[in-house]
Amino acid sequence: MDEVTRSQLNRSMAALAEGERGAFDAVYRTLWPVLTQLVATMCADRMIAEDIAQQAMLKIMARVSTFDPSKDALAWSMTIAVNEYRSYRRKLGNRAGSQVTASIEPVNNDTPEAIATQDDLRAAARAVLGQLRAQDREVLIAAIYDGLRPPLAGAAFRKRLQRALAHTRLIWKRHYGDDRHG
Amino acid sequence: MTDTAEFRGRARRAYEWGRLRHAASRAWPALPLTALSAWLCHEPGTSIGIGAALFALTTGLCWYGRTASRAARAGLRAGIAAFAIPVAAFHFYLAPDCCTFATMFIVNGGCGVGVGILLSVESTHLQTRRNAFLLLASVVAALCGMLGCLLFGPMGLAGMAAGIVLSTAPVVIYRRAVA
Repeated sequence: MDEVTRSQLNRSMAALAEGERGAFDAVYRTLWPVLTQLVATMCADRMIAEDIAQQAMLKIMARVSTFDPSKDALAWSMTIAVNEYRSYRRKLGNRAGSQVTASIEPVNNDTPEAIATQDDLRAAARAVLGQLRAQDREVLIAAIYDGLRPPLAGAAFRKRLQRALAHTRLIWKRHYGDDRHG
Repeated sequence: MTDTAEFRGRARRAYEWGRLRHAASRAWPALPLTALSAWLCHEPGTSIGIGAALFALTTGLCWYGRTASRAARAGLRAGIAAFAIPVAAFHFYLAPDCCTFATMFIVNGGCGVGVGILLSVESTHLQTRRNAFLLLASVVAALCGMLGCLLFGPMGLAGMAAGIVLSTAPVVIYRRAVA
C-alpha cells in the first residue's frame, strides 16, 4: 500500500471513528483486500483464510469507535487480523490437540507470492540490520549462531541481547509502522 | 464464506453495534448519578425516570457521533458539576430549615447559569454546528442537574432550567444575529 492510500485510510478511519458514516465504504474497500492478502500469507487454506479475514474485518468495524487517530490505521487493523489468526489457531489447538498441524498446512514457499513476500522480508531485515550499531549486530548474530558468542558473562550477554532487540524493534517500527514481524 | 454484499452489510451492522456499545460505556456516569439521586432525594421513581432519560439520551448522542457525541460528553462533564454543587451546598452549608424558596432558586439558578456559561465557552472551540452543540449539551447537563435538584423540589428544577436557558439562549441568539 502506497503512502497516499495509507494516509487516506488514516483519515477515513478517524472520520469513521468520529461517526462519519460516509467514510465506511472507503475504509471497507481499502482494508478488505489488504486483510485477505495478509491472512492468506499466514494460512494456506483459502476458505479458512477468507473466514479469518471476515472475522477480523467484523472485529475492526466493531472497534472502530475506539480507534485513536494518532495511530496508524493500517498497523492497527493488521494487529487485529493477526490476533484473529492467532486466536483461530489457539481454538483449533484446544479442539484438536495435536491435529492442529495437520489442519493448517504451512504456506507453499514455491508460489510467486510467497517468494516475493520472503524477498521483501529479507530486504526489510537487511535494511534494519544495516542501521543497527555494530555491537548490536554482533550480539544478534551470536544469539542465532551459538558458536560466535562473544566472551561475556551470561547476564551481560542477555542484557546486551535485550538492548539489541529493543533497538531492532524501534528501527523496524520507524520504517514499517508496526512490529508484527519484529 | 458469505456473499460480498451480505458481508458488507454484516460489517456495517458490526460497526453500528460497536458504536452503540462504546456509547453506552461512555454514558456510565448517568448510572451512579441516578443511584445517588435516588438515595439522597428519596424519590426513586422520579430519579430513575430522569436517570433513564439521561442514559438513553447520552448513549444515543454518543452513538450518533460527531457534534452530538462531543455535546453529550461536554454536557455530562458540566452536568456532574450541576448535580454536585447544589447537593453539596444543601448538605454542608445550607441547613434544611433555613433553605427558603429564594435560597433554593438562587443556588440552583446560579449553578444553571454557571453550567450554561461553561458550555457556551466550550462551544466556541467548534468550527461548525455550535448552536446544536450548545442545545444538546445543555439538555444533557440539565438532566444531570435535575437529578440533584430533586432535593429541592419543583423550585429547584425550575431554577436550574431557568439558569441554563438564561445563560445559553443569549449566546445562540447573538450567533444567529451575526451569522
